[in-house]
Amino acid sequence: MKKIDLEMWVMPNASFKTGLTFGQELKHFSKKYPHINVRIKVHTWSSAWRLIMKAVRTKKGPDVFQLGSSWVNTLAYLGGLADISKPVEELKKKDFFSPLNKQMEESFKEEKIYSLPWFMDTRILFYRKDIFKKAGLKEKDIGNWDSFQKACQKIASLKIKGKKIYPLAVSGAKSWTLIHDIAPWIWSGGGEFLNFRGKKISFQQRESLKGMKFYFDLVRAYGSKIALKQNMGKVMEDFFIYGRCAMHFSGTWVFSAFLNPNSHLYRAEIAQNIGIALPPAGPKGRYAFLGGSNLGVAKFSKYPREAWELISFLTSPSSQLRYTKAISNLPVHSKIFDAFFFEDKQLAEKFKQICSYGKMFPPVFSWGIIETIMMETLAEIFNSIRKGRYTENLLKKEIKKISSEINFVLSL
Amino acid sequence: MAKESLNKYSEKLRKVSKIFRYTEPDLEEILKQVLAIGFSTLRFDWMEILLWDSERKVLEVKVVAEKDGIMEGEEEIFISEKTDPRIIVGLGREKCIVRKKKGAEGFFSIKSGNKILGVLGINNRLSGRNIKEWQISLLKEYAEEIGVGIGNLELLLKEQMQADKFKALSKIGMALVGQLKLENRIKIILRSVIKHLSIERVKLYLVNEEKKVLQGTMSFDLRGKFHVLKEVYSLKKKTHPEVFMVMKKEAQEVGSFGLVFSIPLKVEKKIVGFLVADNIFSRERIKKEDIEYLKLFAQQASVSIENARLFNDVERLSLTDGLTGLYTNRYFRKRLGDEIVRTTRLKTKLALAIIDIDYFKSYNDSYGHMVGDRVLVDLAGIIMKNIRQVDFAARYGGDEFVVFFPSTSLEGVQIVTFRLLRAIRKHYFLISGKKIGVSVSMGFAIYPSNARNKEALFRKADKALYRAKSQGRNQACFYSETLDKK
Repeated sequence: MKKIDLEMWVMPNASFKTGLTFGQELKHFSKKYPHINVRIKVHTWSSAWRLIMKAVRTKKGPDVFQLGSSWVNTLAYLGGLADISKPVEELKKKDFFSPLNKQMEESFKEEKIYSLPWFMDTRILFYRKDIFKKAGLKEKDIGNWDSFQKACQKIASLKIKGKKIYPLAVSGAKSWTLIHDIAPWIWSGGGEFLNFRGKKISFQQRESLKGMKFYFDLVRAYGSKIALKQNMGKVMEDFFIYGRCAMHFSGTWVFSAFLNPNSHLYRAEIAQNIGIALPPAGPKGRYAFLGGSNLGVAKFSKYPREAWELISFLTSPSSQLRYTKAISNLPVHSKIFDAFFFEDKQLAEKFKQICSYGKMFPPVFSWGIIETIMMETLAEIFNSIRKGRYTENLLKKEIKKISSEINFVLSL
Repeated sequence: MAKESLNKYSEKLRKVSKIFRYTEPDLEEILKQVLAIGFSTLRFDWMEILLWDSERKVLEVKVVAEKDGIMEGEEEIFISEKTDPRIIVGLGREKCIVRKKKGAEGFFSIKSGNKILGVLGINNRLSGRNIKEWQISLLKEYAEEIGVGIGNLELLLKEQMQADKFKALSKIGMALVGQLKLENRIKIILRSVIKHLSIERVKLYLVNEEKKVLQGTMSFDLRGKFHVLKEVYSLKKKTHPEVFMVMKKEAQEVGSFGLVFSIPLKVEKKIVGFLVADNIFSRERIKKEDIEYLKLFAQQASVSIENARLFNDVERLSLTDGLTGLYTNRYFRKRLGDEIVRTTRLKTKLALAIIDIDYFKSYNDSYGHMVGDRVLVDLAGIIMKNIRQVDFAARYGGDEFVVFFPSTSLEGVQIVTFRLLRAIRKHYFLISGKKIGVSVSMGFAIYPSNARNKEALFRKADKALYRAKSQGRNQACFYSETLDKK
């Protein structure tokens, strides 16, 4: 058989050496397809988009892309991705995809399919069982906005070993996950980022502001002041190791890093003390942020069939299980979900439940820049909390300021 | 270390300059080869080359060498991380930083002239080995070679790019000369912006002085497709604030991320339109040099578009009647001929109407030619208002008008006729405080039922008009064979 060289671009996930971790997974592919040699290029998340766009523009680049789930629409619109509807159709009959969330299934209702989901990520509410016990709280006590606030109030009055306990550990203004943390509060308050046609911003409307205000008020009143100034590592330390914070929203990788017995960060006494809760329900329901990565074949690939073989292999249950375990993201395949959690059915069930409340960002092709504009403003608001300048008026003013800029972007 | 051995290493490292000179100008590939030479010669546990992304203000780890091989970097160090030794060296606060003890590490600036391009980093953290003086001097030499190589490469690429863009500008000029139509000229301009500059999408808006509106014309983007813009914004009422963001007197950034630029198209200081270029898809700032080229494109575009508009005006004037704004008889006949071909192919019907103003001469005689002209203008307006968008009206000559109604049945024409007659009957002119009405007679013929060709169709419609007039005017008559017998 003729030897074929494929190139694939991937991005790093959490703190793993992606080139090596993914290289290991590709060895399994090479066994099955010895005539296909895959060259990997690892690009940082911040440079990947620029490079992918350059590839689409020049029609020179890899055969297969890893894509952030919100990137697919833009690339499909620009004609950078090959239509893989036909081969996916065959896979669909085998009930390949996760029934975990409706939105992923929704994408298959489109006329053409340009990518396959590879793995997903959601924001999870972790809590310290030891602090909850001291405060006389249970998981059900943080089930909705009101009870969540009351629980925070209770925790704030606690002192453990003479030290003040912060109800919330937040990731700080510089965190790129800030918008992922705020999104569920906006949605459960009845708000949206954009209107239903995706043509105008809704971020500044009453319902959206309500969710943002609720979140920022929580951060101001109950957020860990140390964590506000510090980096992610400090947040993790405060929450997991020293137990100075009672609750923390974070990604699934935290689970694999701290709760997985195979991780070098695992400590049984800490792991036993960490619980996972559903996101609190707001006046308009319960929502969790859902994101992840997809795989797509470049339209300009010289070997589309082989490129399809590669993404078909990587999204197969066995490959997905190995790789998601290695990089600590959630598989999109329902059959392997339990295995991902080391057969801990209760834990798997909890994650499934969280994902069932999952919602993605609006699928508009200018979402990338809209997210950047929003992030800058949210970071400003976050900083105003740190500096003690935050007020509801400031929040409204800042959001209003970016509305016309976002509407302008949407009008282009 | 013996001088010969040092020379041997030094010679090996000098291969770096050859790689820069003789390899295809792909910086990433070159850096991989360059680092491979350094890694195999100097044998540290870890080596990395970082380069500045000056726009984003980050040091990007471009390539990494370790025991597992040569790989692309996965890390970025932000300028704000002030205590990171790579930032210290990268900003030129120190020429190099070397920690000689066990598990040694070192950072050396990569420079081209006085400009710091990046940092070369090494360490022996894995083996715990220290670093020797001769290694430090070799590393400095090596970093210098890399700096010179990158500097030359950047210069080469810049010169190439400039030459390409100037060539593009002259090509565009040539292409524009060969096109007279406004639409074609706009297409050439938009396509050239995307082809020759690092711009992803470009839109062209034109100012319509007559209607006091800003009109979107076309957009073109990375997909290589033109998209007709239907946007029309009033220049008087600022109902669309986002549109007024692009209306700048000089080339200016729109928004705060450097992703959108608006460049006014000026002819003798008068703004005739705007080119709006954006990189919304990639979120990459539009480069300064691209803005300069956009301005040059805009200069060419302004004159070229204005000329095309003048050509359009001349063309329009030869096709339209100066008084009423309706098409001329000559153009009407040409369009009617085309429409008859289409009607035959589609096996549908077409109606032709000749409209004559009753006693028009008396208006001229009694009130003067000015009033007569006003009657003609008003009537043309009424006709245009009451026919469908697909129908085609013209001034036939003197006080006669013609209209053809494609793809229509007899019933359809009757409805329009009724509407038209009613509108004309309702209309009056105020002359010296006196209300004066106007009436018309209309003759209709249908193709292919009444006639087999254009000339015959005119004859039959004329017969029907004659009948309407002879029956007392202020009415419409349809052709029938009985008219021939009479």
